[in-house]
Amino acid sequence: MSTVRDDVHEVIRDVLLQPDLELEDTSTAGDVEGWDSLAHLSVLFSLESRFGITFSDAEMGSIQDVGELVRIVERKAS
Amino acid sequence: MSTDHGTTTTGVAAEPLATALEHQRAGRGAAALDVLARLAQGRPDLRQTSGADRLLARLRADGAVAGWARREATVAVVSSHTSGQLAAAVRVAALAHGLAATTVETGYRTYEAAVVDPASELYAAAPDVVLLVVDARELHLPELSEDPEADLAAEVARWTGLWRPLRERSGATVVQATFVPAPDDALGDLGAVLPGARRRLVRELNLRLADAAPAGVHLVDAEAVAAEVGARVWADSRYWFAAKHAVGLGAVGALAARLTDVAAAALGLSRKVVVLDLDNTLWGGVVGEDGLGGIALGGTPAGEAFVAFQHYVRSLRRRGLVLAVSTKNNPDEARRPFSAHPEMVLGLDDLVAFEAGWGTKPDAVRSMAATLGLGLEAFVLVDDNPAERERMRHELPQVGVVDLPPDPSGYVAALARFPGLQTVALTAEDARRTEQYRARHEAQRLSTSAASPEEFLAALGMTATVEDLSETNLARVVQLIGKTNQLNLTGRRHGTAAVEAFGVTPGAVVWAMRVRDRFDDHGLVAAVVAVPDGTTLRLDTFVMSCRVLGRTAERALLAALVEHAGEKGFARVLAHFVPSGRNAPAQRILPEAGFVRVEGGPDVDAAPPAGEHGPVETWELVVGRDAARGSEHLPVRRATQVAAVA
Repeated sequence: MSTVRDDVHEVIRDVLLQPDLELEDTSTAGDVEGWDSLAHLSVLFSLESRFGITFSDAEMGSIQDVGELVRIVERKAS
Repeated sequence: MSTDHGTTTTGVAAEPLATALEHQRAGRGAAALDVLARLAQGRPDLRQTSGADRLLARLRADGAVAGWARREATVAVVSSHTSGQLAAAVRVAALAHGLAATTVETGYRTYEAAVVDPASELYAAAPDVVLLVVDARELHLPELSEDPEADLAAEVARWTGLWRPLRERSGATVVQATFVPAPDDALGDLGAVLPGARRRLVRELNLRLADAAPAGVHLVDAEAVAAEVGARVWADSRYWFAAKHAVGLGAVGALAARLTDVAAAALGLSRKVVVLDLDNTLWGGVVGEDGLGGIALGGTPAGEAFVAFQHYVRSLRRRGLVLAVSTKNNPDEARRPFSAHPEMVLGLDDLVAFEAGWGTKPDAVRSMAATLGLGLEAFVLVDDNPAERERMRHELPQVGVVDLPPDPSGYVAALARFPGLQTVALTAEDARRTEQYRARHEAQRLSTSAASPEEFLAALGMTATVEDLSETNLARVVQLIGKTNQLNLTGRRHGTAAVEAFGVTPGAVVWAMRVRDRFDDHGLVAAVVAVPDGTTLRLDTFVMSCRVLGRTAERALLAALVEHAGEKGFARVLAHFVPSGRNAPAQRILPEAGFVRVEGGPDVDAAPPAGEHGPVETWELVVGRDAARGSEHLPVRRATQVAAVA
């Protein structure tokens, strides 16, 4: 059974086309090659589609690392 | 999809991107691109599009794209807002047409400056296609106009004023997305009613732009795309405020597909023949087992859906597409519903070919391609049977394959969304294509009964007319130059602006040739562009439709050109053959017409640079020394010299 964390990671790997990418809670966009501001919006939108959630206006501009992204999705998707 | 290219190592074997990635990693670039092209045909979501675009970049770096693509093009995305995702979606959508697109973007808010400034990066990129995608927020239309006519006229002038430099400086095909009114209107429903209301003016502007669009400028109905994906998806204000995405990320794929479809049609990459299965595609049930009375056509909900699908398919003929049937059936049984079922919409005379039998469908399409003189990429298969679709994809990946849903009520939408079926202009030739192809079938029959090729040609009773470039033939001449791959000597793809420029160059020749025979008027089938260079008349472009392949029309046209050169005092006609990898059939044209090969010599500087497909050949015909070998079977009449000939 995959967790929300696994699924969030999977969406990020798909958008970036890096199937072998290892992500940690402390990973930031700057740590990952190809994760620029454009890709970040694609990641957010793809997470919204995947989990049927909506990020708030504040969240769209404030998410700092993968851990925070996972926690917000977990909260909204539960 | 074929799975024999390798086994997948992840748990998502059915995931196309995983498969494509494996192909790429194993060095099978073409197989990876085939998978991506199929993914692009099915409207991928943003997650898939993003991954597909990244894989495409790797394949490009691998050098796999050039050999795979039917055509490469530079596409400029001229937009008032963030366009990165749109550009990526365009690059991916283009693959569905066999088109390898590289993109250049003008960047947020600088679109007008980029168009107006001749030194901008936009022009430096020498785009083949310019996509104008501008948000309705950019329009200078107030919520409620005091002077609607003046406001509209100013906007029409602004947009036509941007089209003009784009066309003149780049010669690119322009594809503009129409403006989509904001979903929330301060005037409520009065917004669509009051003559000065913004919503109504935006719609009126779209109509006026459609009326004002010159040749080479095409509109895409963005409001229809917004309606398809939903107004809230189209205008997702969160992404607008977060990153100036005027088109919601859930709508970008659908918009890119439509823009690319129209651009591909303008580049001449549209498909031409829709090959239809019969049982459970045009009617419910199997006529060979259920009998004429047992098939579902009309009467029931499913039967009504099949009737509606037949109406839609028939209407495609108006776009210039032609229809054919390939069915695994007894020929007599397969034809019976066409003649005897009262609810049947399609008739046998709507079809250019009817292949019924027990052979394979790829063989049936190969046979149609040979008979109709078309490439395999001109065909698209519509078949309810997934196994038949897989077989076609596997054996003939060039053929488009529509994935029909299980229910016939969804057939129309599936076919309507399929890429490559657009037409940018309804030329008279497009509308008449079914009659032409059917006549070619007849001629084919004659050729098998004639004793020799000479007898066959003589029996055709052919005549040709050569005419100068004019308003009425411009669209067709540009279409021929854009889409002709095989009988194309130099492969130059001049757009409307360039052809018009040749047309007014002193001493230059821009001719179009029409051919008819006793079966059919083939219409405008060839075009030449020749430019003066001192005492030499140099052939810049020679294109001829494969419709008249083997009819000696190429010799007839070149002989007419040589005669014209002599009349105008030119000492010789110079021509080049530039191998493109696809124009091998054109290699014989110059020698057969009496041209003599030139090795080196003073004029080789004028030759195009050697391509990657082989050395450029230079040929000449010296007036008075070499005799042009025209065609004894195809008398040519100059339309501009009617009196002299008659």
